Amino acid sequence: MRSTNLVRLLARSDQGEVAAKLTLLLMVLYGLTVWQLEIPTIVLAAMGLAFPGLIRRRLFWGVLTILQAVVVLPLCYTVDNHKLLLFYWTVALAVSLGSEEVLALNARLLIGLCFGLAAFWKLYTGEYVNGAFLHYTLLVDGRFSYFANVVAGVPVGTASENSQLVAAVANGLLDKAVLSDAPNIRPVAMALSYWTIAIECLVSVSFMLAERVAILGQVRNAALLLFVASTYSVATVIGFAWLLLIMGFAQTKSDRPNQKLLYLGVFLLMQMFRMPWSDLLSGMALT
Amino acid sequence: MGPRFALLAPGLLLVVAIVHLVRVHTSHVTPWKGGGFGMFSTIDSEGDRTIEIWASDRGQRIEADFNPTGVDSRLLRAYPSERNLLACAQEAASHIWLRNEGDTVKPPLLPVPPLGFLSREALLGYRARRPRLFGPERGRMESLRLPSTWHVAVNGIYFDPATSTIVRTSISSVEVPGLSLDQVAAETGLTRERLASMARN
Repeated sequence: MRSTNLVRLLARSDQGEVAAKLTLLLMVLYGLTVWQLEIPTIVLAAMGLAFPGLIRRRLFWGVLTILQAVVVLPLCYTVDNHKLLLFYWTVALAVSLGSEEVLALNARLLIGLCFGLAAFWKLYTGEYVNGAFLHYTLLVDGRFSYFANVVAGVPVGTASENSQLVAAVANGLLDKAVLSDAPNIRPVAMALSYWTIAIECLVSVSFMLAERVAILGQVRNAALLLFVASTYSVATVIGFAWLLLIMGFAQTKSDRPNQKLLYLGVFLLMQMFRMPWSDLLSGMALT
Repeated sequence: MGPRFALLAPGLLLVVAIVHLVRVHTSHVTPWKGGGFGMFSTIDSEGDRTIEIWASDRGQRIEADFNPTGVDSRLLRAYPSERNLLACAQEAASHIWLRNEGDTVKPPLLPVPPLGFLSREALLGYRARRPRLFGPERGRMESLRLPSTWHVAVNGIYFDPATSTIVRTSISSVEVPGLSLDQVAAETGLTRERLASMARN
């Protein structure tokens, strides 16, 4: 299909219905893996995707909302924050049935508040602003070891060695330990810290004030897409990325099909980040 | 649903986030969990917190091999309120403890056990026994121990970026009294004299 045809198709599509269907897919693939929630959610999502008339019924979203509330809220201190955000988004879909304006308003506010709180905590704890958090994370967290190696020259295997030291100190087997470090890591951690706080503040303010300040309304989608593409390519929390992109999609103006296309494109692109790039690239380097 | 509910979702998010902020200050909740969206903002994540359970008697520390069943360890690490810690400590204190003389092998030091509990068993390690497993009908004269106090602590990691040094920090802790000789006698049906003799072994 040519992209112009796709843009026309998107322009004619029911924005709320597309967002609802993608949310059902998200719930099935990246929802909370607690059987009490997982099994009924899969059943309801299958029915909703097979019979789209169902997802226009308030009862359908009401049942999904109650299911999430009963299971997710009591676990709020042990589950990741985006599982709670998915619950709020389900509430938003339930209350805004038949009104794309209400759905768009909910999407903007949820994104704005979520990013505002994320930026608040980064400024408030102090460990983020002084670079200590990212310095520590790049040295210890194995999920970032490839990134730390490429960007800051942290030798491969450092995260594994350091996490053993952390475990020994945490267990009281050592009083203290000095982590293996790299000279370039400090400026990299500082730069990443400032970048993240800046982009999170921009996303928050631009989504909260999109309707009041024209320039912020114009940059908001670019800011969110930039954040998602840059953050989740390193920290591959696809469920969170998808949820932000679905909410971003839901608040685009109906006369802006190109923006919708961008959101959907990045939504699909996220799956590419699941590929074992570090293994593939190191394999290529060997051959 | 009318316009009154139009902003229910952002309202819920805000209420949960405010409760979370309060609980970070009052109950040592980690910023990472609880709906405040403080993930990736601090080293103090529940993943880097550990739970430490031990007993003491006359100033001597006694390691205990104990995994509580009454409190979810993930919850205890993310939300170590006094109430949650006390529930864990009281569960430990409610058991009758026998000296674990046969087991002197140290467990692997690393990695951290999946549940985040410390399970260092030293020569003075103790093993919990429920009252029904304990009694003269078993024909065993085991060495009974009555620790005066049970302690539960949740610890975290502090990182100094200038020196790349990590040290363990205490986040929250509680202590509760252990069982008395009379309480154990009531639980087991054994006489005080018999129990006192076993405690001397």
